[in-house]
Amino acid sequence: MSKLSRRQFHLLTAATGIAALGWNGSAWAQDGDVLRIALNKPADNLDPHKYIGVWSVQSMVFDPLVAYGQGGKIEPALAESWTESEDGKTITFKLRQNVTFSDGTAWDANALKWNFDRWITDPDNGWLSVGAFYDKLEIIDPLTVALHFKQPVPPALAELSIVRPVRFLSPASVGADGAYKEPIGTGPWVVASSDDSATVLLRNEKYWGEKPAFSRVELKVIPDSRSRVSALMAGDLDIIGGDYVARLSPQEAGTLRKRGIAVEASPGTGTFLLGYNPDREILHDARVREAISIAVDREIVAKALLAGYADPAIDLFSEAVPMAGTRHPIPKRDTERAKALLQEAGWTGDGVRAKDGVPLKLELVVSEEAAPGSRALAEVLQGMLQEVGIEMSIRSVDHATRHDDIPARKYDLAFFTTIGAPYDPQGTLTNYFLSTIDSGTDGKIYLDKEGLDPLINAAMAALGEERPVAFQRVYDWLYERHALAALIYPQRMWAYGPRVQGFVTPPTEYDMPFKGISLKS
Amino acid sequence: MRYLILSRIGAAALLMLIASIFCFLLIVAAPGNVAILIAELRTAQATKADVEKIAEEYGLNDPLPVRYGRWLGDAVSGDFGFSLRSQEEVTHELAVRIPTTALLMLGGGIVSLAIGVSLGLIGAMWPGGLVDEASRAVALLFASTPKFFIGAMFILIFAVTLQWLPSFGADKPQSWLLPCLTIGVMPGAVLSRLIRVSLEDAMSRPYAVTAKSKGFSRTRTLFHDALPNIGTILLTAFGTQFALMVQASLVVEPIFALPGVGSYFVEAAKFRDLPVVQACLLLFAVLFIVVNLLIDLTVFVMDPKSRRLGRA
Repeated sequence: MSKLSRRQFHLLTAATGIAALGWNGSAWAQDGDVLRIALNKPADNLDPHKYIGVWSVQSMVFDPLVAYGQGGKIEPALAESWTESEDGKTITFKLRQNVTFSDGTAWDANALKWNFDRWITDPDNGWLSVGAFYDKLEIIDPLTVALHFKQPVPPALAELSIVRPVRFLSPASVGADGAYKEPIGTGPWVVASSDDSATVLLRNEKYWGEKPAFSRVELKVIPDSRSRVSALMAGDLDIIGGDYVARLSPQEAGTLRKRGIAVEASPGTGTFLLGYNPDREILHDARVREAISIAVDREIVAKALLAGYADPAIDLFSEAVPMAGTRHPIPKRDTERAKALLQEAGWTGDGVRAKDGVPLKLELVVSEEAAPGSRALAEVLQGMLQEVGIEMSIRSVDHATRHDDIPARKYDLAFFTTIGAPYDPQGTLTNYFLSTIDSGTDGKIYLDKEGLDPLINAAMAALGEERPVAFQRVYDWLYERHALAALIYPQRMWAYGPRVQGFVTPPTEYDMPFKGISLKS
Repeated sequence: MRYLILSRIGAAALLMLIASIFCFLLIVAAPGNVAILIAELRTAQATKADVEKIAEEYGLNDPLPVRYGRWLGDAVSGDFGFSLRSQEEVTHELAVRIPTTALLMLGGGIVSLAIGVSLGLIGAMWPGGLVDEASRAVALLFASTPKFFIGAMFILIFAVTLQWLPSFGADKPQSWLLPCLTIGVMPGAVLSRLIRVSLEDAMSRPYAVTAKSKGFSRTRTLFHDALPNIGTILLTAFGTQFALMVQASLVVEPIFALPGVGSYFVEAAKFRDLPVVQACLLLFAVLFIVVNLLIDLTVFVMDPKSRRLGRA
């Protein structure tokens, strides 16, 4: 027994010794040709016609017909040019010549048709107007196709610029049964390997556009945001950020800036807003809605939620969204006016106001997972509303419960975020405001079958110069009725290390930053 | 002896069955509708009809005992179904991830034993001395600091400031050092106090006093007489600490971006990826029970006293 123990002891001391030796290896080699970006979750199944993988990775590999450029400008991509018919029901695309998929398959009208057949008539994709109103595809010659719709689809080009399901997979890349096998596209990057810890992409030497300045991108999966920040500071990563890539919190951005690391904050295309339950009687009175809206100090909201990395809002969409309409002045917090409005609406008394014996009590449903920082913000709002005589309670729920409660309208007040580029303005207006569309778990921000539906439908159908005018009518209608309280436009944040030169925030949150970037070795 | 071992194994099997019921029920009772989450994956804008269709397709409308029976039957045959999020086979995903977690546990185990035994012995060798007091302070500090903080501090010191070690990943041998240290220091600190106290106790027992009175040195008595006698205590305590390390992998793996079972579980829990959460929970429970069973059996073999007591 004692002999065995002695041996055990020697083993243990040896182990201690090995552990104590440690490593003196310095930080790993820095390859001047590799850009390293953090991902918060594995890239997963990259099938461009499915809704599974990480958008921004799909967007590196698969090209659209037309691209969503900076500020929402529609630019040529796999289509060199296009013409829209007078009646708005046909778009004729001239396809780019001499383009091949990374497996050598030619890009032509047949490849386009093969891709469209995979998704365009699938009812799951009916949320896209190009899918819902699709009529037929006409191949005019190998590099010219005409896309026919049953009715005019003004947002067609914007829809064809998104990531999924509209991008193009090599027809030769699938199995014999047509099932997706590997991510082969025409884009600037080719997937070399992809697993739970990293996705490695190599430059597509056959890419038709401007080739990236470096030959390799390594996307490292780091689920913990503090660890991503540390890795950037340690020089183990080059870029972190992006709402759907690996979100950088405002606090982390502050930490990084203090340490001299560049943080790029650019105007956001999404709006963080307070929505009123369309079923709640109390909230049907526009005066109550206005009182709530002006009782809120938007500058403080921007600070509380995003440490100042946000711009105060009043209009549904920020200027960064195409056709966002004219700007209205941001309201200053005005408790006197809020009180007067409530008084006028019949809500009277000291402390918590009441009307016909019913106290003015409202419940705000928040989900920290759905909007990080929103629980703290809820408490700030609670104080602001209390000052004007509204008692607001907070119900904090998880993401899944929010998804149950919002469509079931089990709330009085709730935070919403608009969809953002490249889906807006049409995406948010139809999904969140049209009474005829089932928005599933997203719920509705405001509904008015008689007043609002016709205006939105008119905007969706308007062509040419009529479009901005028709959209403006929707915005004015919402603004005059205080149908929602737009609070802030959160900024888009990316941070990058010293090796990265020429960083440009990508056009949408669904893109990965690499265009224009070069690496200092 | 054989009866003893068999009854111990039987108890472990029963425990596993109970654990499986809890794994299943905990998840079913959690709020939120899975069908909605799956529907959202299928289409960008899911409708209520989609949700209903999916609930039907996944058998979410069946009675609970039916769902439990179906799940357990498949689980026993090694089929944990498909992940709701990635649509990949859970069993396959686990098989890919288990080696990472196993390596982390092994490294953490070595670190904890190294720290525990060395600090404990040093303390016992010079009781009340400066080293003993210092090791007590260090042990207390490490035992009461949360893992995420220890991990963050290690990263800050060794990866960010000194830049000696990578801040994340598992692709280089040195990548493993920080995660193993992070997961091993707390159990190490706890073990060191236990060893220190048990050794002191053993040193006051008659056999140690006899050894000392024979003129053997304190060090010799410590290693030759006291240490072997605390073997079973050490092993039992190590079993408990090992279980805590499995739990800690949920914190440590995401911090160091290790693609193991712990981070798989955390991601799945966030998303309510039920098949994955259930599989991981069951795996953790089974691991916990098996490790404790193995330790109990080893103690039987090592310690004649426990064999005699067990039979009586």
